[in-house]
Amino acid sequence: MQQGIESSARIGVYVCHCGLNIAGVVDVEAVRESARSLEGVVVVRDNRYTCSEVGQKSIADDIRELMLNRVVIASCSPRLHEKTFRTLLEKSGLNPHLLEMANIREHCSWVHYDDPEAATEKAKHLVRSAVARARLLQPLSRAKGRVIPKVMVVGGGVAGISAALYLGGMGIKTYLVEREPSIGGHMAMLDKTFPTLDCSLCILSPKMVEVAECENIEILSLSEIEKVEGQVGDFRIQVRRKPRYVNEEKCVGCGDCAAKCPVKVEDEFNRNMGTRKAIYIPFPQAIPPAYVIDEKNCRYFTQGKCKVCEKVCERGAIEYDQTSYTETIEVGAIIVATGFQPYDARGLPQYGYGRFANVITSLDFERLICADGPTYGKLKRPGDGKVPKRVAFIQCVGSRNASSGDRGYESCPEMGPRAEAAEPKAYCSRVCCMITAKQAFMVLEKYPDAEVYVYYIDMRTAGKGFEEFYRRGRSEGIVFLRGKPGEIEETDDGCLRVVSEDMDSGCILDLTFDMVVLAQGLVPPHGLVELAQKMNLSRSEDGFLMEGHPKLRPAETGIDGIYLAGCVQFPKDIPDSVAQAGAAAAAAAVTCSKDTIEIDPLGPVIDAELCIGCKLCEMLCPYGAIRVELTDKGPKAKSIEVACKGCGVCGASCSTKAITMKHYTDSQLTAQAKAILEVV
Amino acid sequence: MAEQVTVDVNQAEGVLETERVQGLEQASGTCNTIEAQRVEAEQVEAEQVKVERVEVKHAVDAENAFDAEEDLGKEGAFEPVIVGFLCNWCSYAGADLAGTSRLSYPTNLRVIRVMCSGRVDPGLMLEPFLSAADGVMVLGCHPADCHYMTGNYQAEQRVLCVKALLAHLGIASGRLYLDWVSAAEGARFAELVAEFTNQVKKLGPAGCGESQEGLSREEFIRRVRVAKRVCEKEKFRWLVGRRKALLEEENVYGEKLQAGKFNDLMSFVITEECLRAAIELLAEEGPISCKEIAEVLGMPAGKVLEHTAYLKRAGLLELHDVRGQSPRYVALR
Ligand code: FES
Repeated sequence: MQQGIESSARIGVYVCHCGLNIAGVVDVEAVRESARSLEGVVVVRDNRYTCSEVGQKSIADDIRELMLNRVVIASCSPRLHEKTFRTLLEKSGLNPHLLEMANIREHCSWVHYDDPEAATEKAKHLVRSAVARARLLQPLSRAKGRVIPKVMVVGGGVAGISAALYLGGMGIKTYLVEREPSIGGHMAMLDKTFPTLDCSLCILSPKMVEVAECENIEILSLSEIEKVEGQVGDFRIQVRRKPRYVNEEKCVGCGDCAAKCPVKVEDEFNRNMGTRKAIYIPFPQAIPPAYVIDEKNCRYFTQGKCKVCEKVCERGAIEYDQTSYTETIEVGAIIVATGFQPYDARGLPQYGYGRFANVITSLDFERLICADGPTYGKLKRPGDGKVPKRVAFIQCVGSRNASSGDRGYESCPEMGPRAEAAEPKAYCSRVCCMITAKQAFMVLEKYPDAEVYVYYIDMRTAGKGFEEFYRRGRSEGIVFLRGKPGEIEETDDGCLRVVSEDMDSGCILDLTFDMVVLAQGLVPPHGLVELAQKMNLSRSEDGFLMEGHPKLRPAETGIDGIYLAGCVQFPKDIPDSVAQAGAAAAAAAVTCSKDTIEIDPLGPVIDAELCIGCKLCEMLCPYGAIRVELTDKGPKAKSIEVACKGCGVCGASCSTKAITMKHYTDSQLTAQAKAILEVV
Repeated sequence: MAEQVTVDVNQAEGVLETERVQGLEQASGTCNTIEAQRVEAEQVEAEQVKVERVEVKHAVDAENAFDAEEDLGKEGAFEPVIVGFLCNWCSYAGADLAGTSRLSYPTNLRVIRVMCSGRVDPGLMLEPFLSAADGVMVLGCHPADCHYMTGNYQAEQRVLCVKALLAHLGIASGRLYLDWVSAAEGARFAELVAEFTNQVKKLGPAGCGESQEGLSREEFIRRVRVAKRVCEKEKFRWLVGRRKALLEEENVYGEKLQAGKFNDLMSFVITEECLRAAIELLAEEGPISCKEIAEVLGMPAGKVLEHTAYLKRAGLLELHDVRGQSPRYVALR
């Protein structure tokens, strides 16, 4: 049968110039001519842009007029345009799986620009290989998968909140999963936002309330993703729900429990600068507005007796017997919005963070200057509570640190190995310049006679109103010094001596400050590696999640049905996070709007004659998608199509070679391997 | 000698058989253990892979120091042809990134896309050698990152076993190469291609007197065909497929197979199957007697006789005629 198809193959070969992207290196005409004589080839053409309307039309015309039944396109990566051309085939009445692409751009012209001759030869081979495969391609019918019109948003920061609100507003059932007791994320910790100096919580809090009130949104706080199965349209997600020990429905947030709770611990929401009780609410505007017991510190959990909170709670909301459990939730799409974590400034010991009390980070500063913070908005230095008169800001701490990052770390062996979040990063964290400009401004606003210095490498103020804001800061007397300080020393009175070279004047500056604020960069959140693995998502070199396409699919991922919003893709400011959340929500809504989704039919084909029922396939299949069942001819392997993802492990392992894979058959791959090497 | 062999055969078949029966029994439990296996594998594999990679690096470095400069400058210097099987999700994407970043690397590599490195059959790894390839690369996602969870681990098992097979046949196992490239590692991809190209350059053209193996083209092809045939053999494939589980999981009696023991078993299977494959291939060319086979292969006639008998029982050979004193066989394929 395969023979039959092979001899009747009518193949059209289209070699793309891609403007000069390919034609600038590869001799496109030569490649075209070399394909002309290949078996089964009916027509060869070259196009300036095959993906353009003109290019596509010429293919469609050929399919009709020359009765092509296979199409080979030599152009860019199939990862870019396979979908485009499959759609074209489908519209022209051909099965979309009768397309094969030869990647002569990413794998050829773009990497062999220094050797056009060899690149041309290589391109010829790639085309031969594609034609050989095309000859053996079989039409496949796509299975239809169901679509669950629900979405899960992972991460309840401003990006996750915005995405959930967009989706909820469209009437789509949305689960908002947050691992902390409250949604809000880092934005809830900020005092003001740049460049408008809006109070951060004042603009975020109404949105959080909206989430709580939206009937389509369900908040799963204190929850983490445990396992993700399934595919676009039909994901099954196991969520670990940790106990709050307080009944969310019953708690009205009166605070009687915390008032009486005997245990005081450091308050992480205030960056450990204040204290909270063992039963607490992270911040007054928290959503869900319920208290939570910190079991690590609660006297009842650690010592077995206390229960004061239970006694004082009039509503009987305290439930010590809550336990953690997993819940399985089915959704059609997932939006990952797990944000970032601030760079751990202890990774650069030359600045003394963690050793010198009055060296703080930008996030610490936000809590210090916030009216709700540990000092009720008075800028007091942590060491002695004095109001600082001279404040320095140091930029790019943990960012833009391509090579010099390690300086000094070895000299502090007592610090132990550097944590992942303390590893200085090469990239620019994008928001720190403006954060510093804002904070410097806020110091002056509160204490007009303070002296404020900013040490910077470059000021990056690209954004609406950003440059104007920065200029205003300058004109109000903030001193900007170009140059990164080498080291900070602590003086006897807790002040900090900063020595640096002023790049503009060439002078060595030796200045002493009451307080130093380090503009810490943004790094991937802890747990992202594991989450990416659970969802099969790729991470970029910087450690953040990789987008579907850097330009055109910034809110998508490589996995259909999983989308990105906010800093988990890369550091960005609040408006950009919100905008991306909108894009992700729109993409997720598109997925949910379909009745069914077509699934690539790449499963195994089992030759029951050859199968001996050895179960090797069953043991190796990661999805339980192939089983050995007893038939009247003995035990035989059987594929379970809906579970199969088409990886091909069974086919390549089968002990009797009884299994081959659709669209990646043994004969197709072998033919490809032969043709790619054919000496012409 | 002959007796020794028989005992071994029985032992080996015994192990295989028990293995299979256990496999059948355990099969139902397998799915549950996959997750645990994966987590454990992350650690174990990461270790193993690290070690391996370091070794490869050293080897390559040493070679670089050697004569890279001279060779590269020479007019008409040997330019190896390399075929790469890249998984769609990580390594192919990594190769695309090398393209978008315009990172130049040697033109020697030609890529075939597969969905997962786990799709690459042991036989497929060898196929290119039958044509003009001097080296074959299999690239997949990093451990624990495979889009299909465990495909790359299987690819690793296969490459390890096929390398052992090549080594047994006197073919430089360095012609086959496995590594991991993530979608973000365009630069790493370009480096690996350059490194491997260099490594193959050192090995010389496949099947050429001057190469490291010193095999003629004809002999090289013959051996690759033997290897390919072995890769189709049930016993070999079963062992490859079970390797990871055998070494890492405990059987129902709470025992794990020691690596050394597995290697013994594997090399025993390889030795047997190579000989059988060689006999089959000869008999495919036309009627041939045991004596002639023994001469061509340089093997003791007794051994050949034994395997010929086995192949006849297995229905792979049949008696063709009797010339003079000796019966001649042909393959049934
Ligand atoms: S998908 Fe890359 S190795 Fe499996």
